[in-house]
Amino acid sequence: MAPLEHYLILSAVLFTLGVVGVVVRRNAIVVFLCIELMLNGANLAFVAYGSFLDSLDGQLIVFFVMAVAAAEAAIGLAIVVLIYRHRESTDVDDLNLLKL
Amino acid sequence: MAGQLFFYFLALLTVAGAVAVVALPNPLYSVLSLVATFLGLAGLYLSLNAQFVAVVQVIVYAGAIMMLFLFVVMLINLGREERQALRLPVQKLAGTIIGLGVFAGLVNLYATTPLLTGAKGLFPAARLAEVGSVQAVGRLLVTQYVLPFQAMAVLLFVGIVGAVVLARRRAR
Amino acid sequence: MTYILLFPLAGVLVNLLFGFRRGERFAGRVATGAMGLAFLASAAAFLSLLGLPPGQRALRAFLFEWIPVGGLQVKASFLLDPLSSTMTLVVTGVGFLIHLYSMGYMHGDRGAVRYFIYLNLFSFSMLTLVLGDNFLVLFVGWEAVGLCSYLLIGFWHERDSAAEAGKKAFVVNRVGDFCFLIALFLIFGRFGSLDFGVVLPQAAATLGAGSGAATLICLLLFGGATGKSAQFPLHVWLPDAMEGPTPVSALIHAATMVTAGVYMVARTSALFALSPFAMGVVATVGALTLLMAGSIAVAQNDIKRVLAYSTVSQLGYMFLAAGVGAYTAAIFHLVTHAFFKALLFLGSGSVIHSLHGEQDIRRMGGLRAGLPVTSWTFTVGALAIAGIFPFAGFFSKDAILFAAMTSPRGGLVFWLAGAAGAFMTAFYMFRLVFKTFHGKCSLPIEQQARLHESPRVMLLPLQALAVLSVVGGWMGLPLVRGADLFGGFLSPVFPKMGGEHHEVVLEVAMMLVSLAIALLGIFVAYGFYVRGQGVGAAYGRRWPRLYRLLLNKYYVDEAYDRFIVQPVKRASIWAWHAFEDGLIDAAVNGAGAAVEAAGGAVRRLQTGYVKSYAVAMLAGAFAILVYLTVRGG
Repeated sequence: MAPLEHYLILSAVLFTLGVVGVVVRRNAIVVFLCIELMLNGANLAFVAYGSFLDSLDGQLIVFFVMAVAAAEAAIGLAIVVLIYRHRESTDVDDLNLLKL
Repeated sequence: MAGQLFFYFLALLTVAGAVAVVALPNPLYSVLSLVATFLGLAGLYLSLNAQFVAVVQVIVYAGAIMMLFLFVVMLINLGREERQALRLPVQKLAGTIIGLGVFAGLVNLYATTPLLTGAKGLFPAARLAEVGSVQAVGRLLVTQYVLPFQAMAVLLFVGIVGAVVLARRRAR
Repeated sequence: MTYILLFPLAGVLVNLLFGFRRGERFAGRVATGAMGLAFLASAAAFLSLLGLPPGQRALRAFLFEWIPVGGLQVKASFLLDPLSSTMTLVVTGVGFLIHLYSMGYMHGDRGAVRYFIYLNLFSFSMLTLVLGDNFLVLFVGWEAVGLCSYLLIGFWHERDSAAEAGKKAFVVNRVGDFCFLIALFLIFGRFGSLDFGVVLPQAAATLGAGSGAATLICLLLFGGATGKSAQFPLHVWLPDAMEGPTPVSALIHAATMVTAGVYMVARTSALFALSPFAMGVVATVGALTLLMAGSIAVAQNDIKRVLAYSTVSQLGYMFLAAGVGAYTAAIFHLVTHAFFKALLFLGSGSVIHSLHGEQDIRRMGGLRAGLPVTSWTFTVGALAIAGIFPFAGFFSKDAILFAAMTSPRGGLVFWLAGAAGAFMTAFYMFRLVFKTFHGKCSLPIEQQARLHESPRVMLLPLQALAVLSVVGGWMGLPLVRGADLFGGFLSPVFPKMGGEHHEVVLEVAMMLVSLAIALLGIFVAYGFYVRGQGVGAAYGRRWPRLYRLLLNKYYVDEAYDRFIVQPVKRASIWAWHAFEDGLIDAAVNGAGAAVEAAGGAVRRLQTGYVKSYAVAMLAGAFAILVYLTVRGG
């Protein structure tokens, strides 16, 4: 089994790729995918630490994270569909209605 | 050594998938690449003795959630992102730099501080092989973690209702 | 025993769920049936109480821990002892008859279902009040009957005067309730408990006889009783309460709810025994009220208002009795009063019903021919309240007058007040009888032709109550040893007053005197209103000031308006301008303006693009990471 550092660096790589994706991409769906990527980076760290500490808590937390991710995906995608219906676009850079 | 090789293989798959998610212009390909990443992660979880999470990762994440994404992509049918002048260049540049900064900070942290300082838990690999990883997780889920488990159920329910309410076509 | 409470509650629920759909007849039957069952349950409870030896007649029913908070342990529990048993019998018995009567009286009213729900709810609340085993349960019932009273006074809320009267009753009662509540706080502070079973036996040991604390608590409790039982100076709401339907006036504002104050004073007699001063106040207020209300009743022309002031006056009698320590006499009068006052109100309701809403006695007269049953039952009620032998009121009033004279706390002054009250009672009651049922009818001819007796369902309660008004007093026969069943049943509940040896000669003499006084009152009324028509009016002209003073109820309402309502209004308006406009609005608007200005300055930071916010969040996360690294390293 590879040492803990390897797993953690891999998780950091995934997280960073997610971050960069969120910032760079414009399509709302892809932004969501990148957020999933970040979550999975964090998940990997949890499981790795749990495994190396002989504990199951890491796995359980990952389980809960997945549930949150599922709920978030459901709501988020519904919002995306709604936005698309209204504006014929899923480009987050078009969404500047927060500013009056 | 075989374990090491296995790890590097999976890590490569995972990172490649992740890079593809970010880089490919067509959202459909991004989704499929993410599925590849998830499969790689599932393999990694297996190598970490986390069979339960590995299976859930494949079934729920790669299976269910990604299908939902695919549905939406198909439904909206956007096609590739048009190449156009980069908007909000300052934000994007700053975001990328800070993201890389986070990465550097994390790696720096791993390199400079001892990582395994916590107390050892109750489930070493030998014990897990004995009682079964999935059983142990399941038992914890309905005993020590029963309250978050219930809360999760509520959360998912609210999510379902919320999604239905949001996506419903309003009769005008 | 809990069944007593359960039946009216079930009636409320059934009528709430089905009453509106099934209509008025159904609702009336359910409500009346519930009261009938409650009465049977009370009777059963009474019998099981009789089966116990006299010293230990108390049943307790514990339902659940209601408020277990630290030092405050309040149980939802109920107590059935001779006192509460008497009260439940009166409430359910008279209540049942009045429910029955209401089925006829409210027939055809659009809100009849609502009416029956309120009426049952009231019965439930009143029973909670009398059965409660601690001050808090009593208080819950106390407030709940107040609420029902408010709802029923304002029952015809489309009439402005009814809505106003309901509001007035509520507000005036609130003054008393406030006193009551403070008394409860003091009791809890002193005793650490609100249970009757704890507070009352320990009262003497904890407070000490004649102590300031005992006096304060008692005066506050009595303040509460003044509000609910319409004693001076909080009596003003009761006459206005006559805006409600007449059976409500009979049940709530004559027979049961207004006697709650008397019940409460009797219940806490162990506390009052510690404070001679408070008892003196009780007796004085009672005597004052009975004189005042009696004299007002003489000059009123609205049939229900006369009865209302009569009620206030009779309640004064009860407090006079309680104040001199004759609790048995007070409760005895409470019971007989419930019979004959309910009868009188229902009789007046019958008159009003057949005259289609006419309430002014100057426009009545000679109704005896058209309304024979109403007429004779009303006369029985009048004889009973006037205290003519052998009607019920004779015995209870005599018991009070005797106690007022002979009790160590009583005295000649109290007796004189009571006797004067008795004279006035007889006078105004027979003024009412003569003007309503005798003499020439002053109604228009076409209305006379349509005059008809009320339906059977209304007459039956009248007849039953008339019988009770005759025989109701016989359970407390004086003079003969052992014949005073009522007193024997109740007396274990109350503290001994001492000096209870009966001097037979004195008692007989006093009986004769009070009988003579009552007969004199009737005779004067006869002289004024039957033989010499217009004599009364002549006297009114001779002392116009006195007459106007009485007609206007001693200007108490006006005094309240002048000295309390208007100043409060003016102060409120001033406070509105000074605080509301000057201080609060200025502060609120100022805060708003400040935020607006600050927001205007900072809004440049907001681009409105989701991305910008994501980047900002990321920067924050990075900063935290750096901080942790630096600190941890």
